Amino acid sequence: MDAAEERRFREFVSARSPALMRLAYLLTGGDQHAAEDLLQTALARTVARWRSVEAPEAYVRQAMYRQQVSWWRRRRETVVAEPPGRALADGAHGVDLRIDMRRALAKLTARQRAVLVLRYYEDLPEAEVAGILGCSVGTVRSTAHRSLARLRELAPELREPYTIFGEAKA
Amino acid sequence: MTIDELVRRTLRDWSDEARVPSDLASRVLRRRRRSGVKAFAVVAGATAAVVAGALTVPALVQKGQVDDSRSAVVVLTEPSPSAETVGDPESAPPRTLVAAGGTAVYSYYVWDQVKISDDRQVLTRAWSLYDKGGQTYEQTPWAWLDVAPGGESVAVLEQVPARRVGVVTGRGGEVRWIDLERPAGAVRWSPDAKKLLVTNYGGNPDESYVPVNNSQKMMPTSRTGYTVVDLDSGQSAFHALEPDENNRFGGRQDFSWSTDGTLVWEHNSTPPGTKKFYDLDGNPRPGPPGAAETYEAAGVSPDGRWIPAQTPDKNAAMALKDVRTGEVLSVKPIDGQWIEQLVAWADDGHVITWACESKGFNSCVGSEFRNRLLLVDVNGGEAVPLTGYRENNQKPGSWEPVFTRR
Repeated sequence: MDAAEERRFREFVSARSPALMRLAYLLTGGDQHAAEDLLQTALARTVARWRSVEAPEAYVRQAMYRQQVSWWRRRRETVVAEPPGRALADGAHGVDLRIDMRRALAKLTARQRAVLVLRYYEDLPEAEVAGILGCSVGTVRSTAHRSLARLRELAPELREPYTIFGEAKA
Repeated sequence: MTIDELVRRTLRDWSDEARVPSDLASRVLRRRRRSGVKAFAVVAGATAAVVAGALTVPALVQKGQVDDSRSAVVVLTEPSPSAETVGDPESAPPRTLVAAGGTAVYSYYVWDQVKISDDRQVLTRAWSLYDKGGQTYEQTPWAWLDVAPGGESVAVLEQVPARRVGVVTGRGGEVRWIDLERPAGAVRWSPDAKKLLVTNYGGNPDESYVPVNNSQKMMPTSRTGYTVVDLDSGQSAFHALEPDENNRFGGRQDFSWSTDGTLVWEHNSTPPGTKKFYDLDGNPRPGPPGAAETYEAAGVSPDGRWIPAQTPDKNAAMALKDVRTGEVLSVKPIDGQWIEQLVAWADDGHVITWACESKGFNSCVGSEFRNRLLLVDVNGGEAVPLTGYRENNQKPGSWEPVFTRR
């Protein structure tokens, strides 16, 4: 890597690291330290192929997804960071629900969480999710379905019917 | 609102809590360089797990025999592979090993000040490690390192502060990572090479204010305490210990091991005592005799006899006090060298010093900051230059040795 390439890499990291770090944070279930590790590992892979990578951001994102899923495969464990407790000042039920949802998301497997992040945070269609994770569309669909079911199991208050901001669903 | 929408909103809100680490690109580039060079470790030959001198260690095996007649035995260690005095008197920093008696410079760093804002700067270190294979020092990519007594293993930090500490044993060995409860700014091996002493900081201890008109505001320290890591069990215990608010040592206030490894200490700027001692559980304890009488890095001599002291003699800057008799012995200029500081004991009768080229009474060629490592006989015998002169130890680019038991 020459000086010009290094400068381009630094500019890329400076511009895109907020968005990439948000993604890493979600993939690791809200564990800041694990998220930093994940992003650094993905960036290290990217910089090793810097000359040949045409779309660095897409490359880093894919590296993070695959790395996270492969770490999970290898270790069969997930990093669970407990989000802050319920004692939020406004006491709004919607806020409480989202706290419950965070706890539940943090307890999913890395693969389940990755599928939900791709579908609901990145808003990607199932086919693209399958391409990124290197699996079939059917697997994406069934994993997403199981993940949502698992969330309801982990947080019974998320089971429908539920109420958000006083808005009842029957 | 459907559960899909709830998941979507939760993920967006949650992601707001992510914090972007500082200098991320630099970290990645350093990591890449590290993977290129592998984690080479020193190491300078010594095989003794226990260092020279006498340590009381529970039921140790000595030369194949188990002495179980006592609950603890005094182990006289294998003699060091060499007590030979070696150096590189023409170079600063040295290119070949610097060692004398039971002490060696297995690592050193060259420091720099990097400005990070209009009024703040960070001291950075480029660490070099002695490579026995190549018989020279080689630069490493680590942000901090400490070589174990005997030179077989190295403890490293990837950045300062760091959330984990690494231990590398043997050339090209894998790094064993140990996660820490609190961020680390320094790590030091225990004298028996079985534990690590980590000083914990909430921020970067090397950050300081940029001097203005030769005056520099003191940066408050972010030190939070220390962690003792037991390498056999992998267990570590953090002990909260913020510095005394009267301490005037700036951001970095690291802990050190006592000579026998049973206590740790920190510098103390308010009398009585230049050091405060604690046990490994964080409780204040009295220190060994004489240890808190000096700020000099050499401390008490291995046999406990000599302590660096002030001298009334105007023809010397340094002196040694005999603990038993109270006699004070000036460390006088020798061979045209003015002794400025006592930095490490080579053995009971020889001390490694910083010395400048003397230009008459209390005056140095160039400045007092132009100095070299010099081995001095406390009884006034021959002095041996160990390195060349560094140009100015107050300026970026200067080097600092780290002394390790051989």
